Amino acid sequence: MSTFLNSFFKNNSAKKLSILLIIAPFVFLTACSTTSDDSEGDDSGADVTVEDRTGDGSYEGQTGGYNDSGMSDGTSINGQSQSGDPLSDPDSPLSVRTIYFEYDSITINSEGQSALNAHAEYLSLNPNQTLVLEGHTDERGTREYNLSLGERRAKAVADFLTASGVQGQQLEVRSYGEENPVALDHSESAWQLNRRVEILY
Amino acid sequence: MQQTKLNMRTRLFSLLFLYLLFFVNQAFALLEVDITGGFKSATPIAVVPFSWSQSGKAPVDIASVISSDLTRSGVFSPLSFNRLPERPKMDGAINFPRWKNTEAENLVIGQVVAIGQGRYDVKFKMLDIYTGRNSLEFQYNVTRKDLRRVAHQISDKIFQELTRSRGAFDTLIAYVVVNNDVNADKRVFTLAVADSDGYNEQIILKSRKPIMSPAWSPNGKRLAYVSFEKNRSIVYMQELKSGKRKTIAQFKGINSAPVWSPDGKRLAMTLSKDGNSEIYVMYTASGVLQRITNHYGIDTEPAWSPDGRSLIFTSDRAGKPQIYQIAISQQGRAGSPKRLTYEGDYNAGASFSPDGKSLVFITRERGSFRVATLELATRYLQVLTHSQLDESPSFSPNGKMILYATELRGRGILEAIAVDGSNSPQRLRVLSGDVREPAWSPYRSR
Repeated sequence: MSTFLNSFFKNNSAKKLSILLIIAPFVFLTACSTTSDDSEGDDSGADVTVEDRTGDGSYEGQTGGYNDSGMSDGTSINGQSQSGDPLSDPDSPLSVRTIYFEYDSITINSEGQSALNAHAEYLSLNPNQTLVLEGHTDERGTREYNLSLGERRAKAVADFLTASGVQGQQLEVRSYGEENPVALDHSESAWQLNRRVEILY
Repeated sequence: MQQTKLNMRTRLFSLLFLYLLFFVNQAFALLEVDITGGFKSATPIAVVPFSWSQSGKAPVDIASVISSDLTRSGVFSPLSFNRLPERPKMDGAINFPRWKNTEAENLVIGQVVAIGQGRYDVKFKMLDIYTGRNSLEFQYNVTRKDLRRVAHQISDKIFQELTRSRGAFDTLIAYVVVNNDVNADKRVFTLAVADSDGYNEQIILKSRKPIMSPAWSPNGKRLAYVSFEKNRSIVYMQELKSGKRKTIAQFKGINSAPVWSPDGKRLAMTLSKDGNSEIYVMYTASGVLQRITNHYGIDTEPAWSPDGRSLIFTSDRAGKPQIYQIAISQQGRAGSPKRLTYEGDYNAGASFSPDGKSLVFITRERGSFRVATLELATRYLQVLTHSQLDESPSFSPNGKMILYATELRGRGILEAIAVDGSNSPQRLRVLSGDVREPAWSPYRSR
């Protein structure tokens, strides 16, 4: 068998098979059911639809709905402007909300450090202010490793801030790994933009 | 060549149209199989269109499904239907001299009979063209929705008979699809399951937030996965039949990379609740958690050995990501991590072959991330692909193919390649969006 396969693969050159799945969303509406989640904790507002699937390969045919509306991402910057709030001053160093990284690195460069110094000062003066540090990576390499790398980047930023006098409880670290790129190209310029920690007040 | 390609497309489009007509209430996916070349050294085989008891077309063109399966395996090249010298019926005479003039050595004949109440009787046999003897003969009684499955089971029987290896056509794949809008708020992530040929797509979960790491339970009845629907990574376990879902891990920090133990009782996963990414094993019934690794480096991407007595995982404890192995008992960690990969400065995302003798993983080679295998006994590392951004490789249940995600002209697609290397990969893509993180199901129970 393996000899056979070997000879086959040495000779084969032109075989190309591609399969195209065409999404027809209108059909999918017939195949949903509501989420059945027996987990503890609060699931209200979980913006997902769990689908039924019978063991022999088909739906029971219950209808439900993938609701397009009402999805919140929970990550938007609080942009409510209050007069005199340095967080909403575009000329303040606090307007820098993204720290960028080199490939496979968690080192914060001097540009990032000066932005973080301004945030550290603000957070020290406003000890009730909390923020989320969200770590991201570029798409290269494996997804789960990148999820951990994104967390490590966010923690590097958190460590920098706490070393500058910010209280740990003001900070929450999250990672999205390579799952939430801001640039979708598969190029170095896109990767540079995606290797980041976002500061989310 | 162009003509062949067009014919193939036309035929498949009509197949698709049929599929839509008959399965419109079950699925929302269509397939186009775009064959641009032939397998020169694959074994020719003759699959005759199955006869159908009624006028018009049969609900499923079983012979076409079988031909596509056998073609995708890379091992067989079915004769095109218009090159068949005759179309013998199941119980009819066969003009063997005419068949001996084809390249085929084996002949598959079958029939589909509607027997009322939505049920069908499917029969087939395979004959050796040179001896005239039956090598296979089977009969199935099924409902319409199981007709495609019967076709895949027939493909498995043919594959097993002629190669002496178990076929993996009657299996499923799970994967994630995302329409990667520049605006993150507009992205939709879908976890889906389809037949191994991409048909019968069923949606398991849809979310505005990323979905990652689908993993099959050993009995094929559940998926574990990671969803960010609450704005952070949480591990869930979902029963496919009922849709019933259970939260497995929502600790502080990362909850990721779930993989089932071969006994189906435990999940290995990556948690950062104790400071940074470490490997843990959880008994899913009791929630008992065993910490397996303890290092300030990243430890993640656990995978079980087929005997359940060790885990392999990715660690950058030596500076760069490499694959390590650690012994596991019922009580948890049972040894120290041992490094398995030394070639290259990036080896990650490994999993075992079904026989436990090889690993498949992603290696970095001159800046590109490619699928590689490592034969454990000889330490022979073979890079199988030439692409730049491969991810999530795993073996098919029969160990003959490797399924992985990659990028082609800016799009996320799935590819399957034979374990021994150099054939052009088969491709599976979605019309709109990127498909990734394929996970091949275990063999299905009959």
